[in-house]
This record gives sequence, structure tokens and C-alpha cells, in this order.
Amino acid sequence: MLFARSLLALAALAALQFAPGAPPKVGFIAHGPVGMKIEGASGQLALGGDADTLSLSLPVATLQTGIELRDKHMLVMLQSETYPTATLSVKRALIPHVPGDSSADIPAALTLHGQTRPVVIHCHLRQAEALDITATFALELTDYGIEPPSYLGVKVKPSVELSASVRLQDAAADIAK
Amino acid sequence: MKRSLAVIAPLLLLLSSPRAQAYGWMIRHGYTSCAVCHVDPSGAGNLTPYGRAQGEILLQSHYSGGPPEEASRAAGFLWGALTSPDWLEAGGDLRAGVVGVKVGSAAVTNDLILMQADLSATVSLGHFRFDASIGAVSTNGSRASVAGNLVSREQWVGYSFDDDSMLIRAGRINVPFGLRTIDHTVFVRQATRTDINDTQEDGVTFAYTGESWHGEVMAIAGNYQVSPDGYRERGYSGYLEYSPASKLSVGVSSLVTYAAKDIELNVSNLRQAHGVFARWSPWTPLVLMVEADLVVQGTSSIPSETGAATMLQADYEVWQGLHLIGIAESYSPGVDGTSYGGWLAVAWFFGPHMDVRFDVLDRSQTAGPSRLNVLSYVGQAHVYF
Repeated sequence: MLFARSLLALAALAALQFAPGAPPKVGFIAHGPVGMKIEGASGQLALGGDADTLSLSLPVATLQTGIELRDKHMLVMLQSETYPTATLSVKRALIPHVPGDSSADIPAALTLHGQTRPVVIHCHLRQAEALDITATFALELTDYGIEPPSYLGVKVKPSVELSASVRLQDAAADIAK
Repeated sequence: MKRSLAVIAPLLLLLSSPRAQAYGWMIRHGYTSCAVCHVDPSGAGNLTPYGRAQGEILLQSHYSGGPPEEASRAAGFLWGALTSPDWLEAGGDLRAGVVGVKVGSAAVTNDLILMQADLSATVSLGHFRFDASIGAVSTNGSRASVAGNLVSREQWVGYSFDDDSMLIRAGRINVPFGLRTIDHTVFVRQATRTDINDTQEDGVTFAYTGESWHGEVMAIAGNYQVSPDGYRERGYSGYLEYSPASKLSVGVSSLVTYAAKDIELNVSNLRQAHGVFARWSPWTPLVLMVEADLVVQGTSSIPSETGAATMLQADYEVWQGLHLIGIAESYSPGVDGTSYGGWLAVAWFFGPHMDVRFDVLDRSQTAGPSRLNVLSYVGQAHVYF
């Protein structure tokens, strides 16, 4: 029975796409001194992967913090011309597929600045007609060979919080409509 | 007599005008607190190097059409003419303008005013901070006066700790209360006597600046630049501001002071102010700031008067550096009805650390049983260096 459920879950995840009308979002929060908080966001996620893996790819140049010069500094820090994409990959089999709300800590891999490190993402999932996933995790910039930026005495702390929210649905179901 | 003073004092205050930088509308860029740009963690006054750079990057107009470049050398002290060592932040403000006031049907009176000509410096040695300013104004009777027209608005020593998130200060310091704004003649600042022009007090403060919370509380010992001692107010003042989102903050303030001889009313006064305030940028070009304060005058010669002062300010940045500002305000001292005011202003940060501003103010003020219509304008030019 359990084996059959897992097979069904894998089948449902096999051909996923972003649900129309619910654009994906990714964001980050970085921290500076004396209460300074830098928030960035992008909506340019791409869904990919293969039979075993689901991946979310972000062109880092699409991240915006609301201040253009700060964005330029960020892209220099990320060496975006050399490493244009950040990718979060997770094994499809590790994604819970149960009706209603659930949450799980899921092992994943993040590739950033050309370096891949394991991360654990905290996911809140809601399975209805579509699968809503809100994921959060933290990283240390230095783990990815990134020197935290400093500007006129204001030094960004290495710990950064990331979040992503996506709504996925079976591509076949969409075609059937 | 004290009634007359209460009515006339706000009119006299119109003869001075904004000083220094205190732009609460920087919340449109996600700056919910002030400490990253200002030496004073509650805002206004001397700038940090980062704050100086933002004066070019975020405040002023850019004419190339492209994204802003790095802050130029002109962001430095004296537009980069001098380089100060890391332990010294030196700066200054020069603000002058013309003020016209028309009271009722009387003729317009026009004055040229030197509002501010300040030099300031902050020395940072390890955890210790030393800050002072000295300057001149053309008006007489400033509460920041040290001799005639020579003013010193701030002098304090401080100790910073916990990665600069906490600062203890002692000296003459801006009173922490409500929205810190350069519009120091608005009713909420006048009624609570908490502007950044000249109502600083001597005392001890503790400030905390975190990501979601920041605030400051002050034990007020009195303004030692006025005498006799009876004029000096003693008590406390403080505010606490919470930012649930990057472009939204809400806060509360409270102040209680006692003076044996209130400097405006000439009788003993247990003065209280308690209020709420908020800043919100629903859309980056627009910032709304609101404050409402309960104001209590507990004078010795008449029953306590409980009034209220309110303000709603909208700042619309049409184009980077060009601001249209509207203010609606009211003040009810508890007797003699309610005064109303409306401001329209345009401010243009046209060059590195240079701006001009023009205000038109229309106020209907209570004056005993009657009302006074006060129409005024203020045109000013400001540089900070």
C-alpha cells in the first residue's frame, strides 16, 4: 500500500509546471549593522530537473533590492557574469505528497557562486488542485566563497535568509483543460 | 498674558524653519531606522559616511538617465575638499531663506533669515562617541543659544556597545518623541516641544536599534542653555517604534516633565504628551506619515488642560530628488477651540548635498474667543557639507 502511494506521488510530480496565475517568488533577507535589513526579490524562477530531481533556477541578475546601486554591488559580489544562475535541487521522492497542509524539513542542494552545498529547507506544503510550496532556509555567504560586502563602514553579515514560494501543478492536467 | 503667549509663540516659531536632515520618508527605501545614516540613532544631525553617500545616491536628482553611480568625492566633508580621518565625522549645515507671514487682514511681513549655519563634529574612539555642534542663527531667543545668536544644539558623550545596536548618551540631545522631522513648526512638534531645531534638553538617553524594534528613552535634566533654573523641565521622554514590514513602522511616545516656571507660560507646569505615530510607503514614490498626540498642561494657576495635536504628511517623490509635500494638521489645546493647518511644499535635492524648498502654510488658529488666519510662505536654500 505504501509502495503504491509513493508511486502515485512520483507520478504526480513527474510532469510539474508552475500553475498559471500564480507566479513563483523568491526572496532574501540580509542583515547589516544597527538594525539594517536588506530585502531582495525576484519572480524569475525556472522549473527544471529530471525524473529524480526537481530544481528551481534563478538568474541572479534578476534579484532586486529596491536600490539600483546596491543591486549593482550585489551582482559584483555574486560574480553574476561568471555564475549567472543559482539552483536549488531536491529529490522528488523527498517531497511529501499528502492532501491538505503539511510541513517538512527536506534535504536539498544549493548551487550558488559556482559552488554546491547541502542545505535543509523548511517547507510548508498545501496539496489541493495544485501543490503550494513555501520554502525557507538560511545560508552563510562564506560557505559559497562569497565575501560579505562592505560599503562605507556598513558591513553585511554573512548569514542570509532565503525564501521561495511556488504553486505547482501537473502539466498533463493543464493540457487536459 | 500666558494665553497671549500661547497664541503668539507658534507665529513666532514660523520665523524660523527646518534644520538639518531628518527625512522619515527614507522608509520608502526600506530604511526603517536612522542609525545607519546618522550618528544620532534616532535621526537628524551629523551623518555617517554611509549617510553622506546616500545623500548623493538616493536623495539627489540624477540627470544622466542611467542608474546612479557610486557616490562621488563630493559626498565627503566640504564636498571632498578635505579628507577627515576615520575617527572624525565633521560636517555642517547652512540654511537661509525668506519668510513671509500674513496675519488676518494685515499686510504681509517679509524677513530674510539665516536659519542655520552650523558646524558639527563627531569623534569615535573605540566604543566612545563625542558629538557637538556650534553655529549661528539670525533670530533672537533661541533655546539653543549659548550667547546671543550663537547656538549649540547638541553636545553629548556616548558609549556604544552590542555592535552599535545600543548607545548610552549624556549631554544636550534631541528629545526622543514622535516623528523626527525637519518640519519643526508643525503643531505636533510645537505642542510637544520636541523638535530638532532648538528644544533639545540636557539629560541621559539610552537608545536601542534592532531590525524590527528601535527606540530611545531620555531622563531629562533640563535645558542648561536657558536660565533661571525654574525654566528647566525635568522628567522623561521616549519612543518605541516597531517595523512589521520593510516599509511600515508604527510607534508610541510618551513625555512627562515638570518646570517650576514654564518657559512659555511663566507658571509651574506638569506637562505631558503621549501619542502614536506611523510611517508607511505603500508605493515607493509615496510615503505617508501620521502622528497624534495627547497634550496635557498641568499648570498651577488654572485647571489642567488636555488637548491633542495631529498631523498627516504625504511625501510624493515625483522624480528622484523632487518632492511634493502636503501636510494637514490640527491642534486643540483643550480650550478655545481647535487650530487647523494645511501645508503645501516642493523640495528639490538638485545637487550633491544641496536642496531648495518652498512652503506655503495656511493656518486657522484659535486666539482666545476669536480666530486668526495666518498665511505664510517659506523659501529656503540648504547645503550640508
